[in-house]
Amino acid sequence: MSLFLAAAYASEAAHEVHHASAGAAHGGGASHDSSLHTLNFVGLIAHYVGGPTGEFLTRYENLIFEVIVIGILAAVFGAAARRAALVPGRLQTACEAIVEGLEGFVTGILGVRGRKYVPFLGTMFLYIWVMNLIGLVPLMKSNTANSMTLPGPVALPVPTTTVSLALLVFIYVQSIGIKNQGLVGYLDHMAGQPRDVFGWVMVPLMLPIHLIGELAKPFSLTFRLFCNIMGGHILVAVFIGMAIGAAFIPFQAPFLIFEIATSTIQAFVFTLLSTVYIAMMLPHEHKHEEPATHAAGTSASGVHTHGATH
Amino acid sequence: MTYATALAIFLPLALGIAAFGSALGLGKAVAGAMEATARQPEASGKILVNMMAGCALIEALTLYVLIVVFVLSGKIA
Repeated sequence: MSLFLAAAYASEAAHEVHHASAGAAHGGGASHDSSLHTLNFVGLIAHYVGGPTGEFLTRYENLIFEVIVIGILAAVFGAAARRAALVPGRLQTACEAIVEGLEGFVTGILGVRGRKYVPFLGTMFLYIWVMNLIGLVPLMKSNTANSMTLPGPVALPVPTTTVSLALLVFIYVQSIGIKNQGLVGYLDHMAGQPRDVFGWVMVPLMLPIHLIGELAKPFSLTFRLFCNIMGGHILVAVFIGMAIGAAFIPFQAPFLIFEIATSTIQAFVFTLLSTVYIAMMLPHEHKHEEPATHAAGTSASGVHTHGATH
Repeated sequence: MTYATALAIFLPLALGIAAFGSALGLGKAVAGAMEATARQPEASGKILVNMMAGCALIEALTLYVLIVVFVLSGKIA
């Protein structure tokens, strides 16, 4: 038991220190693979097996971890839904509480018409949450902290997984806007809804401002999620590095707990912002037909004003 | 002054200024949340959720500076 713990600690320490030192010393030259090469079990297998299998594993490392996360989510929720009884067991109750909490949260912002956006936003939340948390397990890495250095003279580390998630949200939100308001209505919304002469005069100003605002949204989404998770991991790595020199006292323990909180909060903020972007794209109704009286974000079921029962 | 010296002086300074600004903003946000909770303690759950969202948005601005620091610190060495 203690030997296992020591081995796990050493592997996690090596993983994190390698992570941090690679991160600090990189950024100058152009490299063809991901710049912060973390030591996870796929990397270990690739290193010890070598050959074409090793190259395959190194190239598709991110995809393997994404498949692991999707597999975990599918296994848990699939097992809960497989024998869906009217009187649910423990797993089904827990999963239903999660789904109900997400649905209450999204409909609290979007109203009852927001129910059809709950699958996308809820899955996004769960995916990002599990993906953030799985990086804290030793010998695993979280894809949201993965970045690659652009080849060429400007060697910027660009986040990979988070930019794909943010692009997905961007395309989804814009398509919702075009589908709900029509193409003309969408452009009208972008131009600030000119109704009188003053509105039409302001169009050359409002249109670029709105376009840049729409483009800034996925940009900020990617960097917020990436910086928080990567920064948290580097923080833990720095403390593990200090602990290695100082007789293995786990200095990084409070920061791991803080990292758990950050993972949850960042997944929540990503989902919240996506929901708000969808709300801003839909036709604005300035009457609030549904006061949000249920506690958004907590899994305990609050008071539901829309009388949908499960 | 070479560009490495300039970066070495001003990158930590930039991060410090960003942290200072975000600390002020976060202080205001949390103070508002505390005051709202004191006025109506039964709404503390919803206030906490909104405060967390606001804090994450404010924190993101400091993290953008951190990213710039990481990118440019590779150019020092």
